[in-house]
Amino acid sequence: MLTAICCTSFGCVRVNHEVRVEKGPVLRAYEREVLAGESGVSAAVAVAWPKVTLSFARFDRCRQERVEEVVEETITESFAPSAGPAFTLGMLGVASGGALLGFRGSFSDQPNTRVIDETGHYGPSARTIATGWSVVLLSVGVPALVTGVVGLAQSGEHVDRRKVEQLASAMEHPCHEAPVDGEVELVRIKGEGPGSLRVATSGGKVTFTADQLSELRLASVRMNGALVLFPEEEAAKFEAFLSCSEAIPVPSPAGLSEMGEEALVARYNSARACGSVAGEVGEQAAAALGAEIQRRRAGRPGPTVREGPRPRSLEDARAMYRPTLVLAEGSRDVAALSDPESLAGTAAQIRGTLVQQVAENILVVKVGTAELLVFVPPDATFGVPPANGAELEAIGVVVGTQVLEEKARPLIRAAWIQ
Amino acid sequence: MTTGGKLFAALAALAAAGCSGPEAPDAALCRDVIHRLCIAPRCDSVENGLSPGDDCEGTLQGRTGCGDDAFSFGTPNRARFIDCRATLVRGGVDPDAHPACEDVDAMFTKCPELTGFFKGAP
Repeated sequence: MLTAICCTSFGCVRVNHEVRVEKGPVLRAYEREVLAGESGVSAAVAVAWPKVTLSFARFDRCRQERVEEVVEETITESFAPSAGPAFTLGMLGVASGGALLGFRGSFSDQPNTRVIDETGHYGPSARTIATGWSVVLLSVGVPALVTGVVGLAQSGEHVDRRKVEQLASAMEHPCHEAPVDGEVELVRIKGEGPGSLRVATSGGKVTFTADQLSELRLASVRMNGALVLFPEEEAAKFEAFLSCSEAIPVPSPAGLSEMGEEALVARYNSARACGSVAGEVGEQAAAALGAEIQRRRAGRPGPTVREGPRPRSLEDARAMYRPTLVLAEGSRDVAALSDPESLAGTAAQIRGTLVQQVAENILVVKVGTAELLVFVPPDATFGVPPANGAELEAIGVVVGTQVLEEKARPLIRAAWIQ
Repeated sequence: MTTGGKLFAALAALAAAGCSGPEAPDAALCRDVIHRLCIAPRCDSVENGLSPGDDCEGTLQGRTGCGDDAFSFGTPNRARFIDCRATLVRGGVDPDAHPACEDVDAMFTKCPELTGFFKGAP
């Protein structure tokens, strides 16, 4: 009987479980390297002017992981909402039923002769009634008590501890590098000269001379068809070598004097990278080209600009020139200044800040992040802003590019400045 | 009522149903019915049908012989008397509760021999 009550009670007790996970302090931390796949080819650049050697290496991508071991606690909280009331009811039932049963002998055993029921029997004695009620109370109390006890026994907190690993950080990097041989292809920009330059490596290396690369407009480097990756520092070195190979050797003075302005400036810009890869030779080349530019500028009073109409105010200038370019901060036209030659002859409206006045007739004006040179004609009837940092508005015509203090910037001939 | 309450009530009813004392003697049974019939105000069927007079219980006990503890049923017998009494106590077995006159009438209708019994017919 008691077994049946207990079994029934176990089934009746509804126990709620709440599980939460908490992590404890770090027990230890260590680093490990795992393969992240995606192998590739990288190149290192060694320059010994006039040669450059590219060393190719196959590599894998590895991930350096920092792993922390921590204690993880899984806490299961169990509670039976009905356990308390059931236990209380059970205790009351069992206590009162047990008391009635225990003290039944104290009750009269005489039947109740005052009452005769429908069947002709006297009413039960007080002892019989007490016994009956004790049975009823015990029948209710015992299962309730068992249910309550079972529920309370199953309530509580259970903690499972285990050691777990968690990834604190991960950083990918090339690894397992090993020299690799194959066919290297220097791919030119489409439409820039003949086809690609193909050379086989030996011992994972290939060497080019500046002559070989002087006319190369390089788009990418491939090995056996796969794109070769240049680390940032190596890429800078290779680009400097390519740029310098376009500038050196510098033509003779006679050849220099025959060069067009644009070609001269382009060559000078290429030569400015030579210092880092060609040493003294490179510096001499840049100096020679720079000197030729200075010589030409010294030979004329200022930039060659066409005479334009002579306005008498800013509005007058705007009406006369009808500017199509707006060179102001945030304007899209500012981006077009990267190629001033293509804008030559275009009227422009300028809103910017006077940064510097170079000589008497050249102003450096900053428009957004771009800087441009504004040429003030010697016979200008308008004034020049008195101090650096002054905001100015001007109407003018784009002339082209002017190299000043070793910097090539767009040059605009002012029609009016306000 | 909740399930627990229903269960408790059922158990209580079962306990009560299973609880009764010994059989009441015939004299006690007879006196119980006479007591109920004589509770004032008496019903017409008692007043007119049995004419008990002022000492209703004494008169009817005298007529039936129930006043003697040694009394035992003849006609009607005990079983029949209990069956007839059941109609009278269907409103409750409390001996001091006045029975409904409809129940009194119904008892005499169901058991016409009781009229003769209470009139002292042999």
